[in-house]
Amino acid sequence: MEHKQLIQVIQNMTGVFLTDDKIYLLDSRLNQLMKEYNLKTYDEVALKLLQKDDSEFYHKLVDKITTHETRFFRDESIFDALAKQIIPEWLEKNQISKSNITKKLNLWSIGCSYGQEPYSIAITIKENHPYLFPHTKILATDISKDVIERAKKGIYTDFEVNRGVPDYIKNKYFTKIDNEYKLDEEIKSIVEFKIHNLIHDPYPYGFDIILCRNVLIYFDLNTKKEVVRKLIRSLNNNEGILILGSSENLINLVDNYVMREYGLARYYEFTPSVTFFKRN
Amino acid sequence: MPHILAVDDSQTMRDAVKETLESAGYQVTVAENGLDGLEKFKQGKFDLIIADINMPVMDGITMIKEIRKINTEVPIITLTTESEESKKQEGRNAGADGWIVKPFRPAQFLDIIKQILEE
Repeated sequence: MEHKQLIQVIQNMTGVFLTDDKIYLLDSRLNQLMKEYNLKTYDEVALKLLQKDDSEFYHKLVDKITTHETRFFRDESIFDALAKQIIPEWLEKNQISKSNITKKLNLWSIGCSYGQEPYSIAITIKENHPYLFPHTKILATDISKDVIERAKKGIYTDFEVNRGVPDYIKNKYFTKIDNEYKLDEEIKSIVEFKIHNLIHDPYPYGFDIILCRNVLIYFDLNTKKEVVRKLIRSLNNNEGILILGSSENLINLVDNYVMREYGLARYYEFTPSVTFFKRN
Repeated sequence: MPHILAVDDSQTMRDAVKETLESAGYQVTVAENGLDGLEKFKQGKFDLIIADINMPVMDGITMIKEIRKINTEVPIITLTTESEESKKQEGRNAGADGWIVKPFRPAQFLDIIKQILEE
């Protein structure tokens, strides 16, 4: 069966570039959807996407081809870095203290899946910088409508909560109802969920910290460059912190960042106080 | 451990830079102006130079130009209060590899040094 056209259409509409080793995803994940919509070939799927008249179909397909693998406090070291270095430096730079809170801390969690990442950030701030918590806003976005709907609920299975949430956090911020865990309303209150497509939607602006972990891996090099360029413009005055997945980096994508470290965590700082000159 | 030459006319700044770098295990030699820096560079073997710009006797831009006449490889970064774009361009043209505006935060400063040395 011919994949080429469908792969191209998916890339144009979502940015997701299915490399040869990911083609198997089409076979395994689209099978059921194709039966449901009575589509016989990948060309028919591509045509249906191009018609753009069935947003439900589009969202279902996006949901199938993206991976929602995540967990609370995934790559724990980055939450440590947020609590112990990134936020303290932000407070110092903005001369903010308990008695003098002059601005809000704005974060953007991209590819937020079922909400584990933005909620982990919210819990981290509540635990480590409680006075800053009411002055924090987290925008959490994902391309998939279904995951955003679930993320908003803040209800998780036993498996999801027990995978990554330390007991004292679980007891403090989750309520067990039957077989599910419901997240504390106060934690939920600072997170706003939205559907956002990094390829086609305008980028929001004014963030101090952007987390875009394990999202760029879906894109080809040119798309990565374009997305990173836009992400930097989404930072407050092009200044702030960009956090990528632990196996990702900015090499060949952009210049003039400072690669910061805290323990095992690595992240990127953009600041007008540091300029690197490229040698010819 | 890398050997770093730090050139600054302010004693306070020299001490701060030296202390920060030594806390991370670097070997540090300090110089108090461009001419002193140039002389020490000629006598020693350095992996990185950190230079102030506005200094008496010989300013940082002149020192960088002089060093580049004899060594094009060693990375040189400035650590200065100057943030004017035209001044940065002067630094770039003289042969600097990076421009850091004071004041510096120790953790960030050390990450920059590590990044440059790794490159």
